Amino acid sequence: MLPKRAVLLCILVFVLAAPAAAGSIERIVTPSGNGLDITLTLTDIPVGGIVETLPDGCTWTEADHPENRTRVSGQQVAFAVIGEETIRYRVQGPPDVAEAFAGTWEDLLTGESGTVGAGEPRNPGPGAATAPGTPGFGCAAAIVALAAAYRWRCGR
Amino acid sequence: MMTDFGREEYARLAEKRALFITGLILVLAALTGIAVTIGSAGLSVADSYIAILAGLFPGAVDLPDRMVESNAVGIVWGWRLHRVLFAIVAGFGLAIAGTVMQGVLRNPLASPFTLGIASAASCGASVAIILGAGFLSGYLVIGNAFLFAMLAAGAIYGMARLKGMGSETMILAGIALMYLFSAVTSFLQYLGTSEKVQEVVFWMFGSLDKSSWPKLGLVTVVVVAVVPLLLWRAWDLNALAEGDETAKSLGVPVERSMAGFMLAASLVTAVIICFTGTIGFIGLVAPHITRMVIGADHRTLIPASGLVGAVILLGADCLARTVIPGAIIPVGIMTAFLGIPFFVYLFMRRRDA
Amino acid sequence: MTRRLLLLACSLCLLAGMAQGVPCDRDGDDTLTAPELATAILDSLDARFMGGTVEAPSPVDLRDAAFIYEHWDGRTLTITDSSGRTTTLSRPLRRIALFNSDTLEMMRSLGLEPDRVVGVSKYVLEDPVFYPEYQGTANLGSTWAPDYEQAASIRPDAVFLYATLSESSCADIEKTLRSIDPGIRFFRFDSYRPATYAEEARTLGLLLGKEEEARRFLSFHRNVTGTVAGVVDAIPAEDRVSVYLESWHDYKSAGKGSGYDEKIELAGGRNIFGENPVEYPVVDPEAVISRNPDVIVKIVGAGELAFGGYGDDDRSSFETVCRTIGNRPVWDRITAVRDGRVHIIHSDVIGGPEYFIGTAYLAKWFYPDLFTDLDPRAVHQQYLEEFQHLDYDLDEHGTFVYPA
Repeated sequence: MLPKRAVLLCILVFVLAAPAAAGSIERIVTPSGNGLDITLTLTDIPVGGIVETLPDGCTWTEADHPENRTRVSGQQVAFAVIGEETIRYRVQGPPDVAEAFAGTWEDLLTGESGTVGAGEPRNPGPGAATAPGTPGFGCAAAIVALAAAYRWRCGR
Repeated sequence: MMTDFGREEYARLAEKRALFITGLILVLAALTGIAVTIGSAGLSVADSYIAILAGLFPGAVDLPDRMVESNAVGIVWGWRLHRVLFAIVAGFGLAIAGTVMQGVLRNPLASPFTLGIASAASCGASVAIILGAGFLSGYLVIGNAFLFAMLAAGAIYGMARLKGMGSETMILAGIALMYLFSAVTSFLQYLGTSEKVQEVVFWMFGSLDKSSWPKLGLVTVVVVAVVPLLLWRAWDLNALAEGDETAKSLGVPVERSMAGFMLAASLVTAVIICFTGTIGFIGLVAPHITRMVIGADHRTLIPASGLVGAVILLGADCLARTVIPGAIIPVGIMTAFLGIPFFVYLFMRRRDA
Repeated sequence: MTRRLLLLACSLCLLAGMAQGVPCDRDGDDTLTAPELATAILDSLDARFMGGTVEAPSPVDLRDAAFIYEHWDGRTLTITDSSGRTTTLSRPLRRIALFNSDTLEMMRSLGLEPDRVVGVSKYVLEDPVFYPEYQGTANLGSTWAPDYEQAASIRPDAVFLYATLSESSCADIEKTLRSIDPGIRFFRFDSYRPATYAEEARTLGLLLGKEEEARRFLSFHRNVTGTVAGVVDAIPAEDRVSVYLESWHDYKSAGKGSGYDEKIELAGGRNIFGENPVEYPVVDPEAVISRNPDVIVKIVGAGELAFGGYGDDDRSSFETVCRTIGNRPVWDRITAVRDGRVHIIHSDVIGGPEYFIGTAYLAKWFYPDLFTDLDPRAVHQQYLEEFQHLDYDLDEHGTFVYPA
């Protein structure tokens, strides 16, 4: 069994987060002609979904994203992301609504979700950092300690 | 009149026996009711009973969500229930085996283990665990434990046939066998790696962890088959207990009877301990207690001590599962602990004699 | 009969909830194509955010589909574990229970997220220094004394057991758990044997969707083992250093076919008791003297010498052991003792998944001139930081070897 000094050392040991690459999506809106070009740049989201809400006054034109991965419904458009790193789409509308675009995204592999253009995921999802736990059970089984004298990790 | 007095005494004794057996059955039922609710899965008492009903009548009971989530039915029917029933049947079997042996050997301190059966089973299990060699592939440990135990019984019988079927002969032979098998087991442990030795040690503790429905069925069949036979011949056992000469004069075929009883007791013991490992003291303590209460007439002694054995083993198992939260102490260790106050009591009583 | 009906009912319920085929596979050809996945994603987004009325896959199904597409090529995965058993999975493993802490350590090297582990053996819980993030996980007991009720109540979808250790106990665990919950999958991995280590890491990587991490880890592992093997293989048999290895029991050495014998060989040594047929024989001290080994290796960490390792910073107990060996009667005649080549090593780095670190130490001790560039301590530190994600400084904590 570990000597009691082990308990003191527990305090010194921290846990680093399991390497959950935090995904994010940036949006850039550029006026072009009589409409707007929107470019979404994805970081670290191999499989996910994005729902963009177009501001009032904008109408959907087209996207360079595959048709079977795009769905438009009213003022909202959904994108299925499978491996893409950029999505470009066009809308018709006045340039002054550039700031009024809103969108949410989710990473279907890590469970993270966030707001487009907000940087770090707002909702880290279950696969992210965990806090250091408290030292657990200790030597509960007194009788079984009989056999615990044989350290299991021996003799290989 | 003497006969009236005798009849009265006998009636009182018969009443005492009936009360005792009824009381035991009630205690057993209560213990069973408690035992199925014990466990580290955190099921509530109500959930355990609902789970039992749901298993008996699948589809008829509407399970609340929390029970589906906790898999209460799976836990109760796949783990707890057969373990509890196994404790009852195993306790019953070990106790009647002990009773029979104490009668045949005319020694109230005899038990199935006195004849080296436990050591033989442990040896068989060691061979299976450490050497990986056995008779029934896929059931190495169980097969070996059973066969070695029966081998020991056969050896006793053989030696007794050679030297005469006296109880002293059998006990001597038993002790010799016990030392032989213990030596082989120790040697095997020397050869083995630490993990294998640990496995053997755990097997020898005796536990109900490995019970399952098929095993329960098998043991029940054997016990149910053997008990009526024993009851049918219980009078012979009464006669044998008086001495070989007395028995012969009463027309009991002594040698055949002894052999038959030994075989029955060994068979029941072997079938039980090959699944559980060596659980001691039940075969020693249960007949003793019963004899103190209702006397030595084997026609009632056998079933009554069986019930006492069932109560002891089930009670020990309940304790074993609750004493240390989160851990299950092997039930053989618990029965060994329970044997201590019993022996202390016997020791104290000695002064009166 | 009742029980069989019950099992059938349970299995049906489980199967209903857990689609036998690949989730979101519309045409039922058991392959999830990109269009099928895209439709599933769009349906889900539509139903949740855009007020759509389409029948959308559940979030669990969608996440599982994404996993399968990304890691398993959109198909079910068939893997063979170390006991040769083949299992086909149509869902990723989300609730893993392990009786084998070596496999847990290996999974951690592959970057397994701690929240996918729902049950661990009691040895993990008794080691808060090495396994801080698992201290709140359910306690499943040990292979010899398992807690079946806990194991069942955490509803795992997979249980990991040893392949070649305590086989009858593992078989019992499998049988009993299967009768409680027929939906559980069982996998047998050792994660401590040199011969199967790399293959197991690769298989586990595939199983957990961590192929990239597995590649990275194995290249690190290969680097170390390859460096050692490259030098050691070139040494002819007659020039090999003779070694006496003793475990924590006095005079208990390692014979033919034992794990320690294998590691001595991997490190290029010649075990003086290597032809002894008993796996862990207790040897005669005079035999050691007469065979006069060049190097003595003593293992601590269990039994009477249960100190050292991750939780212990005190080197003095190691020194005492070293001196005691040197003081054994007539042992000062042994070359190893005369040349000061008595080394102590802790079982944590020579047994278990860290065996390759221990083997590196052995190689360095056996042939210090040939391995001047090999730094086992740095390897150990890298293993802890990069792969075990532990903030543990070997310069300040832990005693694993003596002399350094």
